[in-house]
Amino acid sequence: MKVEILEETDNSMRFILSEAHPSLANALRRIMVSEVPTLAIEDVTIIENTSSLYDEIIAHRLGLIPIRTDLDIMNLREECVCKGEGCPNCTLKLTLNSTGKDRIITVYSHDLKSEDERLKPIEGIPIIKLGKEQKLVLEAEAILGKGKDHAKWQPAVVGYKYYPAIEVNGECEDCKKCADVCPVNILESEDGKIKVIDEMKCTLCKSCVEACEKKIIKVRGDDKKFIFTLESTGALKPREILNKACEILEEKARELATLL
Amino acid sequence: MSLYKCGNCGRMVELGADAQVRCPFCGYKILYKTRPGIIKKIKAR
Amino acid sequence: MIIPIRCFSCGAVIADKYEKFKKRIRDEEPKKVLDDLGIKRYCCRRMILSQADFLEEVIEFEVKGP
Repeated sequence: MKVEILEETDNSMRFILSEAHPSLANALRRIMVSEVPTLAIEDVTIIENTSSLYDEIIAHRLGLIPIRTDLDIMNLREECVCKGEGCPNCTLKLTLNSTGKDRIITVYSHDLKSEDERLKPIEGIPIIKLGKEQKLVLEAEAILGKGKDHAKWQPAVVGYKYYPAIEVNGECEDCKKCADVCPVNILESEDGKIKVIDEMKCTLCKSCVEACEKKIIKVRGDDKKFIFTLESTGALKPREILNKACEILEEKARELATLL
Repeated sequence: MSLYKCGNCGRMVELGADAQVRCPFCGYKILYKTRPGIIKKIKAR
Repeated sequence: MIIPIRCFSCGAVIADKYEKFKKRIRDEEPKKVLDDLGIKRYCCRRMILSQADFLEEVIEFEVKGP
């Protein structure tokens, strides 16, 4: 297994996984979406709510807000030293206190006050709008969880595709039909022959294969090489998600080996 | 006894079980029940 | 009502981009704004495009105090 990072930003990443197998690529993807733990609000205590939305709607919205997570300082509740009772090592307390003004105000995720400076909700998500005399006071408890239990704990949206291999073999008449039909425009004619400009952009749709009258274009996916696209929700950095997923996969493989 | 809010004048009205549904201040007959002062715990799911 | 926090289909966070989108479409093409904000899948794009923001209108119906 080899990883080559193509591009990386604060919340997204693209990389090539090579010397792999489809089952490995899919295992990695599934672990990244459903096994890497993140923080999300689980219990909400509503003290006062005179807003236009029901308590349950607000609680559900709060749950979906990603919280910047540091996996070194938080434990999963069932693996914590408190044995699932809830302690500062596995629970993050947040509070919200907002009152509407004469003008309608929007309450944002950064109005949620976290007790730990390092673990804060990501900014700019509108939770609710409050009008005059409307008030919302609540306390929330965030815990670590996994995407397989609830989508709110999902750290990223991950997808992959086989590395495209496009071959042009034989006499090309330069009819340009394949170039016209390509939805991502990666085929171009050069010196009376068809050339592939950027094969990585290919979606393996095989429109060019159908369009070619002489049947000289072959498109296939390399099942040992994969292009991954990872889009983080902001709870963890893309690199942290990938590293943690590899760790979990290794741990799972070791566990299986001991059972056999 | 529970607390209601008048739909017309917006004042708080406290009514017993056998009281007539009517705002004593303005006579309006639509009253909204207010939230009980209970702290509510919900799962964010 | 109010913009959903995550995309219903894929679970990507979209709520933080909605206000920027709203502001920018006044004098820009929605397609360009969505591409600029990094909303590339059509599941996330429909979340933003089909949003009907009427929570502010609902607040108007709140019974006001004396």
